[in-house]
Amino acid sequence: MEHIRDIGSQLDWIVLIIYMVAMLLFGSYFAKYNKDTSDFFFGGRRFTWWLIAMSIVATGVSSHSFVKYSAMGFKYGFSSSMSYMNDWFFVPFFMFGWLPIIVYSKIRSIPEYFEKRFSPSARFFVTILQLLYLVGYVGIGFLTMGKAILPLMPEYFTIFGVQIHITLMGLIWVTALVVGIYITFGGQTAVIFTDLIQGVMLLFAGILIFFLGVAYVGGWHTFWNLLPASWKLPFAGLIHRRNLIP
Amino acid sequence: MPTFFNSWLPFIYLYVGGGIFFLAGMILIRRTKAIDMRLKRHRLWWKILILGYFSFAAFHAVLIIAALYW
Repeated sequence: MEHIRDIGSQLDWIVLIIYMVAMLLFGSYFAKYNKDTSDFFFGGRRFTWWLIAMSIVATGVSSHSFVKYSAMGFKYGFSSSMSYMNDWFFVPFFMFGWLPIIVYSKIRSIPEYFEKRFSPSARFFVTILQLLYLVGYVGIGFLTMGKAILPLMPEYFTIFGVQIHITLMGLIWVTALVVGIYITFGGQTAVIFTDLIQGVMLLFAGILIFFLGVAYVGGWHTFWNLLPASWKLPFAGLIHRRNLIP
Repeated sequence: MPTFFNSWLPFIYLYVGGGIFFLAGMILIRRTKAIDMRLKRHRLWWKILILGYFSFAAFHAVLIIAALYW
């Protein structure tokens, strides 16, 4: 596989560095609001619903959305972007069953719920399961982020006479360090406010990329007519046989 | 041209198969009194849930029609 490198300009690198430093400082600034565990995990329960909603959106939309969905969309069409379309069916259970339990029992985490409902060993087991899930989830976020940034980077840079090679793992470590620092110091308040900024940026960038992409291929009419009918369909076919897919 | 198996069958699978789960959820929250229809905001959410189901179905139906005929 061909690795594209060094397509970024100096301006791209400066923007990236300023962005990283700004997020680090901005997130860490909120450390002063953390006086106890309630502040750390819930931001003191002081935030309005739309701020929290924006944070949830920003958590869901990340580098993997751009890299993964673009790749899958290119390969299979629109149907690959409909991952969460069956969620609506569980919303009645969620809204009037599960959510009130979470809100009114004032638990701080899902494992804590399992301890209250079952036993400390259930909590331990669920914690392990959640960690396993998050290792993959966070890992894929970092990996796709690194893959998106790496092509912009030069092979190496020299600082104080020392030549430093830029690698995928190196980028992942730097980003993990920046995020880790501001989350550790800033807690949930830092997460919510940095998510607010990043959520707006991600949504704006996503919409902008879509329109720019459509304009690049020659406008909506050309874009739509270029696609085979099977790529325009919102769902994957139930019977995937070679002779059924045009 | 995609066949029925690749166009409308997934739609039927999602909104009829999934619709059974949705309906079961709606019946359960009424029967268990998790939703209190005497409260105005609960009545509002009841309507939003039903409207949401049909909105998603309509949205996907339009996308399928667009893919097949437009």
